[in-house]
Amino acid sequence: MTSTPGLGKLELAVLMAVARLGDEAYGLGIRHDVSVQRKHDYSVGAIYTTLGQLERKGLVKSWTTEPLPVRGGRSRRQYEVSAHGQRVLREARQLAAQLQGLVARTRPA
Amino acid sequence: MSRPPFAERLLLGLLTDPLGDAILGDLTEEWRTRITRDGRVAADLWYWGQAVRTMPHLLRDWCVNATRRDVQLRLAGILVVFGIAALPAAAAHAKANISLAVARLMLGSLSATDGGMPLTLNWLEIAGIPLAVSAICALAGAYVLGSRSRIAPLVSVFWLGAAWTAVSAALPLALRWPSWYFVALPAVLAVATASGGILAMLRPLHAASPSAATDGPPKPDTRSAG
Repeated sequence: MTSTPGLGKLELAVLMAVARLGDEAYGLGIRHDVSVQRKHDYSVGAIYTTLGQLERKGLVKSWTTEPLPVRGGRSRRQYEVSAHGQRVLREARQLAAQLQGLVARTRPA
Repeated sequence: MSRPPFAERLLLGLLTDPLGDAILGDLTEEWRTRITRDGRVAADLWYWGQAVRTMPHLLRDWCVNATRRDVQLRLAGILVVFGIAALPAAAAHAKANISLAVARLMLGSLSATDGGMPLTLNWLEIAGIPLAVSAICALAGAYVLGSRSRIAPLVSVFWLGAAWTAVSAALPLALRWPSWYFVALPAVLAVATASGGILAMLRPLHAASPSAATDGPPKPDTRSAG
C-alpha cells in the first residue's frame, strides 16, 4: 500500500473537506469545515494557499462561478476532488484503518 | 455598507485574479453574516484579523511559487538596488577619508590627538547623510513601485524591501563603518520601504486600479485544467 507522499496534515484535511462538501466546496465552506474538524480557526489565506498547493499537485480542480450579490459582486472559486485526489484519499483512509487496527492490537491489557 | 477599506486595499496589494476575487468575496460574504450576527465593530475587527493573518500566507505563496522569470527580475532589481545603495555610502566614506588625509597633510607631523585636536571621524555626521538619503530613496522607490505595479504591488514592494535590507546589511561591514550603522541602515530601509508601500496603498481609491474601487466586473465561468 502506498502512503500519501508530500501531503501535509492541513492539505489532507482540506482535501477531505472538499470531498465531503461537494457543491458547497468553496473557500468559506472549506475554511469552516476544516476549522471545526481540526479545532483551529484557520485564516482564509491559509486555506486558499493550501488549496493552491493541492491544485498544483493535481489533487483538486477549480473553476470560478458567476459573480454573486451576497459577495459584493465577486465570484466564488469552486473546488472538486480530481480522480488522482480520490485515489490519494482512498489510500489515506486505508492507511488510517490499518494504523487503527495496529494500535488496537498493541494496546496494553 | 462597505468593508474596512484599508484592509481591503492591503489585501488587493497582494492578490491577483481570480484568487483575489475568491478571497475578497469570501471575506465579504462572511463579513456580512457577522454584521447581522455580531454587529459592525465585531465584523470589521474580524475582517481586519483575517486580512492581517492572510497576508503572510499570500507573500509566502508568491515567494515559493515564483517563476524563473520572476526570480531573474528580482535578482536584477537587487543588483540595481545594490548600485543605488552603494553610491551614497561609498561617496560619504570617500569624502570622509579625503578630509582626514587632507587634515593630516596640513597638520604635518602632528599626531592624531596632538594639540587637543582629535582627528577622528564623526561617524554620526558622516553616516547620517547616507542614512537619510537611503531612507528617502527607499520610501520614494517603494511608493512608486507600489503605485505603478498592476499585479500584486505589495509583493514587489516586499521584494524591494528585502533587497534593500540584505544589501545594506552587508554594506557597512565592507566599508568598516561603526557597528550601530550596521543595524540602523537595514532597519531604516525596511521601515522606509514598508511605509512607502503602505502610502501607495493609501492613495485615494479613484487613483488605484479599477478592481480596487469597485466590486469587480462580472466574469465568465472559467474552468481550470486541474
